[in-house]
Amino acid sequence: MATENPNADGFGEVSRVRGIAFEYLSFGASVFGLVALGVLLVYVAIDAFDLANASPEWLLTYFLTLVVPFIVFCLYSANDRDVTRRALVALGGGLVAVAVLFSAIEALLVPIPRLNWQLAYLFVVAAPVTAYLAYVGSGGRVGAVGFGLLGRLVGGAALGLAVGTLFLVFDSLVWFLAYTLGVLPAVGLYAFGRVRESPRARTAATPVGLVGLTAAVFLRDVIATYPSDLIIYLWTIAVPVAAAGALLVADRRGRVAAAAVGGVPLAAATAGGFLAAGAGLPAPTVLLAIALTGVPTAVYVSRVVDGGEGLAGLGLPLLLAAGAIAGALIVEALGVPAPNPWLDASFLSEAPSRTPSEAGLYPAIVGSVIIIAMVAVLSFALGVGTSVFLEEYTPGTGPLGTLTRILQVNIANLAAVPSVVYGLLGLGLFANLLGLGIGTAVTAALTLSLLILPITIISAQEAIRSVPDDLRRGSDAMGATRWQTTKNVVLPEAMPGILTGTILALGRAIGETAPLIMIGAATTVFRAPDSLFSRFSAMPMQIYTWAGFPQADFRYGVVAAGVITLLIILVGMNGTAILLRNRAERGS
Amino acid sequence: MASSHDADTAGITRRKSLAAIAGAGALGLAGCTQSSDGGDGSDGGDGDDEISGPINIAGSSTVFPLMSAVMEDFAEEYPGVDPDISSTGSGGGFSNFFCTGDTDFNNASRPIQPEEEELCADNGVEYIELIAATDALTVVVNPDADFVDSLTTDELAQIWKSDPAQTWDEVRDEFPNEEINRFGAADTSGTYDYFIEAILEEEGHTSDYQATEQDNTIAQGVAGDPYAIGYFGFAYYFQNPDQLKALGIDDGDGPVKPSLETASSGEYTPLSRPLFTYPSIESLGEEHIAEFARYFVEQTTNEDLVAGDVGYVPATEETQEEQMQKLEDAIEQAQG
Amino acid sequence: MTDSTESPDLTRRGGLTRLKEGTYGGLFAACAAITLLTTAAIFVTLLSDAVVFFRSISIVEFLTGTNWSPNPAGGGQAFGIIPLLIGTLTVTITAAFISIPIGTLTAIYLSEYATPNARSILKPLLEILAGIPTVVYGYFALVYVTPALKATLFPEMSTFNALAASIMVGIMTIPMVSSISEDAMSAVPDELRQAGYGLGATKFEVSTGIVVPASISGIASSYILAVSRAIGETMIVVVAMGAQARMPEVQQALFGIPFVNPADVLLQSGMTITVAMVQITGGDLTGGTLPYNSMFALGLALFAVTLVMNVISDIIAQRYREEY
Repeated sequence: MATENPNADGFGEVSRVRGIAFEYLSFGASVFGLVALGVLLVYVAIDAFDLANASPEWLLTYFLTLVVPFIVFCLYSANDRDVTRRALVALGGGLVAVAVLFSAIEALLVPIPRLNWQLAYLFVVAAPVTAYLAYVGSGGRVGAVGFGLLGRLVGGAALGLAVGTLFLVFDSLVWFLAYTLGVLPAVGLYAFGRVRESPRARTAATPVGLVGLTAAVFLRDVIATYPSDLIIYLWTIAVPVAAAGALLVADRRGRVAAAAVGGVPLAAATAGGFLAAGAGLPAPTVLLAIALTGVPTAVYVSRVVDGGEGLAGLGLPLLLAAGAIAGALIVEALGVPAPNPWLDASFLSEAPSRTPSEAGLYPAIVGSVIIIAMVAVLSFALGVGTSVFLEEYTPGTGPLGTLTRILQVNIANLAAVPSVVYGLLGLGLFANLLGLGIGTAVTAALTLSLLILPITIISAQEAIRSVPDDLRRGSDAMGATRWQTTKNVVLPEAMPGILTGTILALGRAIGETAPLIMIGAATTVFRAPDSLFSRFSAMPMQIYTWAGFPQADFRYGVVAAGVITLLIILVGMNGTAILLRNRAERGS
Repeated sequence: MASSHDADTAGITRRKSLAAIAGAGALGLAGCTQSSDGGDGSDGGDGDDEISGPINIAGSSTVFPLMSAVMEDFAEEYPGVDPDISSTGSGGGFSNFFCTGDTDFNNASRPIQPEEEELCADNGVEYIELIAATDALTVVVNPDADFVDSLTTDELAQIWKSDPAQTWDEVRDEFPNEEINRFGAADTSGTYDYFIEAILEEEGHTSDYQATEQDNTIAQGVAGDPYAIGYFGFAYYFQNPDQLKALGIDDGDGPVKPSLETASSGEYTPLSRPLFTYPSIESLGEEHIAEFARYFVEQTTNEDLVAGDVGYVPATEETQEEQMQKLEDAIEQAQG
Repeated sequence: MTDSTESPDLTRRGGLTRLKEGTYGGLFAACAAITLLTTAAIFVTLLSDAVVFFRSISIVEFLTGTNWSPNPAGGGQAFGIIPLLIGTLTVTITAAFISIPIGTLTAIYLSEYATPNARSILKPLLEILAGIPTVVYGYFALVYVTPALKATLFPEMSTFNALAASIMVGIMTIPMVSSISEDAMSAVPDELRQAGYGLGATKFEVSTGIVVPASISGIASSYILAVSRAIGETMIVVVAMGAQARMPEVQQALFGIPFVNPADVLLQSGMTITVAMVQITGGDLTGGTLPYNSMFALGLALFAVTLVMNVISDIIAQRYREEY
């Protein structure tokens, strides 16, 4: 280090120029890809939301009603004068700098297509500063509460929509029977066994559940009349979720609070479901979304109120909602010309169309969700099984050790096989040989499961390997069998890591297109798939189709909206994975 | 004590998750049984006038825009039907989907080939041939290319044959001595096949050209070069008539320019080609598929849809009547 | 980890327990067997159709033919893989020109220069580059990158071209180079660095003269993996590169040395092996037989190439790894 000091006498001079230049060069290289991607994402966002046609007044209105209150919230939460000062300098100085620089480039060099300085400011200065402040703000208690609540609202709604989507394919009647006859008695028995310390009841839980499930499958066609879907979801999902929420709260805050935490969202969900049915909306999905949003939110609010810290944070969703409404009212009142985004509610809820303005992604979204759900179950089960075998069941030496080594090399090779080759495998093996059908959801799910299996296995192995050996030794010393050690010690410790790896791998599966083309996934479907053997389309497949349409509105509008939708879902999944990882790291 | 309690908690979550996996498996299984029964998920609602069920279509990417436009309208009218379409190419559609009994219709930009007929026969798949529309392959040059207004089929062949003319004056003496830049269909497309069949025949297709699947690439290429020539389906030119100049084609009876009228009257030869769809007779036995087939034939004369939205030449009333008759016969045969 | 020797049997274990143990062991082994079966299934699937293809077209003809034209109508059906290889190599090499220098520099920055804080932010962000769906990259290349290049640097560029696609493939593979290289560089023990400083080396000299050579095997295997990923990349090239199997024009230079003008290859459309496969599934070719089977022959070629590269990378990583 000292040698880098130019004033070091007696050793001669060493030029630092080369070193410094290299450091900047390598830094530049490491952000090059990110900057390039960032620029492309900005353009795609501009296209998807039609921001090129957003008037400065429109941008200003929403900036003032939505962004500024959010920034103030973050600054309040951070409660750091230094941060506040820096943020204000960045926002203010950035405004001047971007405006001047942008105008200078446009005037002197080349006009920059589909951008103006207001948008440039938004993306180059306002967005990063806001993200930074959100990061800093989340460090404060108020901010943590606000983002926690927001996360539960968004996550719950997304989960509700996803579960509702799954029931488009999976038979809700079988689920109803399976839950009533199998799951509920089994869980009941188990809980009874726990409370009354009766091991017999606990042991009986699994067989009872299995018998119930089998009975459900057989009784499905025997029973003639079923309650309506709304009642089924209420009984099988909303009520148990509410009960679980209430139980969580009951321990600490007593029965009244528990009843409120369980009852209020349940009532809201029921009311919402019936109102939606009256209004012709998909009632079961509305019910699920409200229930799965409401219960975690209620539990969280009750916990925050209990803790008594950062209560102000609970206002964040209200603040944002009020900002959005105020912005809309002002825009309406002043008659500010608003952009006409391609990515809007109808894009997400309508079928594809030959008319760009009517085109929608709904059937493809449903297709993707269903495939990913199946891939998740398959690749998780296979990935965990294989990695447990490799890490826990096989020794490092001897003939079995050689087998392990072969398996390991094979898995590494599979990870490098191009996805288009997996498509051929799916076509030859699942579609033709096993007769699961060309372009069906189940063929696609199996193909994609094999595709991401190596990635899942490798990450699960890493997670299992990171479990300290002491824990295994301890378990062994207590006389546990290998399976008991695995089940009670290794897997629970490794689970967050395994889940993180699986979710990241699922992110790969959701974006894959080439295998879908090879197995003959439908180019366009007009209805959401209603069984595993339906022909289906998926989001990337639909994007690929649209990208080939000749009309400019498809290329620059509809596809951009599809890309943003896909990326938002991806970011959501990866964000969940990272949160899981962080929580596990904090826990251990 | 505490540790065993922890183990128990862990046990409950794992057992729960196992149950959930088993539940998911059972549900999946149930999903299978249901669809193999051919039953509809929602109980009630069947048996009324409302038709329902899936319609699977595959085949030519050329017919794809027309068929998917018709499907879109049909799906809007009949909420019970579940139509889907794959753009697989005519041949891929026949051999991988239609003749194996996986799809109800196959679209084709050329008549079914003998090998494919054989394959269908081997698998016991019977079908009829319906004319979907007419496409008029359009030969275009740059709007600034004043020297040429029309070409004879022989001249066209000279430009595109496997050993082609290099400069325009080799084609016709009064043309300028400038290099010809060719833009055409990729060799896997039906357009390419048809162009060979209609113009080039034995002479083969040159490989010295910009091949692409996308009409706007051809359009851009030709629009950017005064000595370029290209050919593609009628749709692009019909929707953007000012960007490019379509050449008249002289098949011995004087030059004829491509238009809705000349193509449907049969004057525009030899580059008018019929586009087909092949419904499977067995599938026509199902009411919703028969209804869709009728709907499709009705729409083939709809100028707004066929020409306006998609850019093909609509069928004439007579053709439509013929096709409808053929279809009704097949439906009767299927539904017995 | 568990030992192969049985742990002493302290409790009485009934047959049920043993049965349970065996069942679970068997289940896990079955899961592991699926990975082997997958490889076998890929081989069998590809081979069974490829064999039919090679009965009509000899392997030599397939590997040395300079014309790819699966359509029998166009005057001479030909199945020569060379033009497709040229397309694939064009993309791979151009992408490597982006991913290898940038990825290596990134790795050096992350392992030698970055503060722990910067590293914890940059590393996951870089992984995003590899996580973006490739069809999205293809769309970017077609709709944003090509028009931008056309408006600024290369006005004569064609709408579908190899350059824009290659740039996107390069950006996508940066994290593959950087993360594996960085792991290798981080594994270099600090003593080596300290020794370098002790001899009066600057940080730059330590980074480039000590750390990089010491981790060269890891770096090399990261290059191979990135290149192998680029070879198998499908959607970016399908969407953005077009579909024209071409042999580049060979020109005679001053001293009679033949050369190919890179602009001829990069600014024009081309066809990679993967594009040819997708093309055959979607084209209007007459059904069945030869072109359909050629898809499996191409798949086999692709599978073989990536397999060989992976094995080479593995060997390099194993054999030339410096043990510290």
